[in-house]
Amino acid sequence: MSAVPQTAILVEESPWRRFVSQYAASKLALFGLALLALVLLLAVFAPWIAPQNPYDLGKLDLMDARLPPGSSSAFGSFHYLLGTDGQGRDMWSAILYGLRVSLTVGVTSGVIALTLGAALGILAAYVGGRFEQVLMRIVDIQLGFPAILVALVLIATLGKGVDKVIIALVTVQWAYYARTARSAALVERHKEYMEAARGLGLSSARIVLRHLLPNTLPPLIVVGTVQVAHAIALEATLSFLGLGLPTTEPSLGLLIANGYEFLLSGKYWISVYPGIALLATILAINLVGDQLRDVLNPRLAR
Amino acid sequence: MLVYILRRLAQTLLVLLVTSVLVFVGIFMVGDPVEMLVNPQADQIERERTRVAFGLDKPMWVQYLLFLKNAAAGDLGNSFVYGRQALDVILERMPATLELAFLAMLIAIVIGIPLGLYAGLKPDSKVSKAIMAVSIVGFSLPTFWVGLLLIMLFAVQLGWLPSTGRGPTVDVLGLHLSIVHWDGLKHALLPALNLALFKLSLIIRLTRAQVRENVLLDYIKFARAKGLTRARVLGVHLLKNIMIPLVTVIGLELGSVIAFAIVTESIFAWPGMGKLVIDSIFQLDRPVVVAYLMITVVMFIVINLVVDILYSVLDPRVRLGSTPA
Repeated sequence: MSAVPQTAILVEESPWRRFVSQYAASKLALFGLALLALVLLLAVFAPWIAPQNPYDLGKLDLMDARLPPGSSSAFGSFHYLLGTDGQGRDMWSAILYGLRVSLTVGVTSGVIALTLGAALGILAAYVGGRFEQVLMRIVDIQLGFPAILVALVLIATLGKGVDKVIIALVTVQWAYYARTARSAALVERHKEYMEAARGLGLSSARIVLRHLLPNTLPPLIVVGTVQVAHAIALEATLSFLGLGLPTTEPSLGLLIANGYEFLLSGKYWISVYPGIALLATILAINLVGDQLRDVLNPRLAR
Repeated sequence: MLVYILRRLAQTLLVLLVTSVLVFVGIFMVGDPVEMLVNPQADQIERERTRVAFGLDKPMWVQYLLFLKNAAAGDLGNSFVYGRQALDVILERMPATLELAFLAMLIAIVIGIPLGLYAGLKPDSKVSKAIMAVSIVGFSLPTFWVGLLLIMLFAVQLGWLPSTGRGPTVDVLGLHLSIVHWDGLKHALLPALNLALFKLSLIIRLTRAQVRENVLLDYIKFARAKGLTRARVLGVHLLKNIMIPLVTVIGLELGSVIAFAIVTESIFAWPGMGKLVIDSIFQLDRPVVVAYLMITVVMFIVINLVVDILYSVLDPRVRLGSTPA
């Protein structure tokens, strides 16, 4: 921070620009953002970037199975940048597609959980009474159990499948959002702008949606980034245990699990490269989340 | 205090009941265990006989009420696979899991607190920055992947430590423990390290944050002004005050270590209850899955309760019962 800021510039500074400059103050956070952007781009454009469609079984050749990174196909000139797996699948392509599946599941469950949790949390703060008490008791009890256990119970009872995994991840996450939204809304509801809105005779729906909700968003976004990272890691763990996504839609976790059997014979690349992709994704999200927490937290504001 | 404990126990029963209904209803929707119980060539008559023998012919709610009645008497049903009491099957595996969990927690505490103290006292030094960087990576790494890396490095590349199984166990007061045996300890080291890593990162971060908050407070300044040695200020005054939140987190994390042992045990083929429940889910061994969940829920509630009580003992400012948690 410079010692004596020029007031003329300060007046022109918009909240958005202040946010950007505060975020950019940390090089590590910028690195995280760049990494996240790269991961997202790779996932979104996977079908165009990937040299091979890893799930078109007709394109796979068992003769090319378990080739180390940098090998060329036994037939033709196909180049396997990161080697191949047990079925002769190009690992680089498989990772790109796996990234897509992992991110889709993580973000989808995050968005659903955020919507559900925020709605319930804000409602609890606004309505209060019995509803609030019961809801928060459920939240407390559920958060007393580790996510992996709750997810495992759900998968054990619901069965496998993309929809089931998303249900499990939403169930695990909603409570965090509900608690955050409620405490943020409790703080906001006594502020003057809320009184002003009530004084203007606005409808409850309008007050909650247009005034209360936008002001509870910053803490929810912070929790959201951390939770999406958790969701991706949890999905990978479930898939690794064979309890997550089906083999027709392999996520990074499943790719790692597939490579596990080859690990002991020294064929590290089948497991390690998907693992690095998973780590990069989670790390990027965590780095961005860490910085967002510092920037958006009013208590730490200078 | 007594009222508080009683209320918590009542709540425990309610949670148990809800969990049991959820699990019971849910588990009925996946697969037919009869298919797993009879041999594939069995005819319809034999299938029916098995169904009746295991009580699977009755409606779901009758089966549930029977389960409840038996559970009240401490009988959680017979395992389909092992043909013995599900509770016994799980309790047999429990020492292995607890042993792993305690060893992991010990590693996390013994390494984590000193590193966190250092990083908190000298936040700007290079070493502290390195410690924090490692802890953020430790936070981001999924447990199962760390397990794979550990196996690759220590078992495959270096060949120092075994990667699977439990090794020989020694009978200590009726419990089969492997950590008291050198070879057993070697088997336990990799899985425990794997399990410890996430908690280690957590303890480092928490200790650091606590230290940084506390060193600015007046009581530290006062202790210094009294001319106490640095060791005494840190070892007695500071440590005592940062212990309160640490004990809470360590206590609560013990439960999560037991739960996460499911993953570690599966990777390292450690014969604990976590691996048992994964196997049981695949084998549709309903009684074992239900019993495992019941036991874990009880364990969790007990741990949470003990932590809450401990918290009020350590910190007289906390009044039980009036807190919303």
